Amino acid sequence: MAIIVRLDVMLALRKAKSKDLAAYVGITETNLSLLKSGRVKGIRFETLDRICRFLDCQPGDLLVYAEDEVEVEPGSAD
Amino acid sequence: MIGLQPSTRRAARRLRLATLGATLLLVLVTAAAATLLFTDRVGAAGGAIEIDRFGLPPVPAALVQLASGALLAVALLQLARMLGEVEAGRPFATARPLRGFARFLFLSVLASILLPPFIQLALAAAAGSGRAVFALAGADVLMLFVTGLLFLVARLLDEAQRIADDASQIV
Repeated sequence: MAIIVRLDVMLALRKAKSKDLAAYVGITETNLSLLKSGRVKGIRFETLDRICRFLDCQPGDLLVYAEDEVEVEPGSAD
Repeated sequence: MIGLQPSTRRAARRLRLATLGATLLLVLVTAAAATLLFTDRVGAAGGAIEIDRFGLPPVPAALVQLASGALLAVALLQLARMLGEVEAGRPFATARPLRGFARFLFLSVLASILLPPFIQLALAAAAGSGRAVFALAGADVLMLFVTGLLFLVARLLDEAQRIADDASQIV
C-alpha cells in the first residue's frame, strides 16, 4: 500500500493514549488499532477531522504517500 | 451485522415459522397423496379427494408427485434458512440461500412440467404404442420467470454484501 498511516507516531509525539483517542473519535479500540496498522480500506472525513482535532495536527501529519517499489521482472532489465 | 429494525426481524421470524409450517404441511400432503396413488385408493374417497395424476398411471404419478414435492420442500427449507439470516441481522448474507431457493423451485417446476411427458414416452415405448402429452400452463411459465428473477436478486445481494464488506473496513 502506498499510503502509510503515521497515527502511532503522532500519538507518541503528543503523548496521547490510543484508548483516549478512540473514545474521543467515537470508534472502537480495535478499529483504531486496524487504522494504525493500515489494515483498513478507508477513513471517513469525519473520523479524520476528530483525530486531527484531538491530536492538533493536519491530515498530512497522519497520512504519508510513499511510492511503491517497482518490481522488475527477470530478463526485462536489458 | 446490520442494525435491522426489530419489526423487520420479527416479520422475518414469523415468515420463517410460517414457511417451516408450510414445508411440514407440504411433506405430509405429498406423502398422503403418494400413498393414495401407490395403493390406488384415490377413488375410495368417493370423489372427495382429487390428485393431479398428470395423465399417468398411479405409480408413476406418485413418483412425479414425490419428486416435485421433495424439490419444493427443499426450496422452502432454503427460504426458511434465508429468513433465518434476516432474523439474525445479516440481510446481505441471504444471497446463497436465496439462490438455493430459486434453484430448487426451478427444479420443482421443471420436474412437474417435464417428468410426465418423459414417463409417458417411456411407457409408450415399452408398450410399443401410445402418446405423450406435453402440457405447459401459464402459471408454470410465470414461475420459471420468477425463479429467473430470484437469481438476479441473489446476484444483487452478492454485490450488496461486497459493498457492505467494503464499508465495514472504512473507519
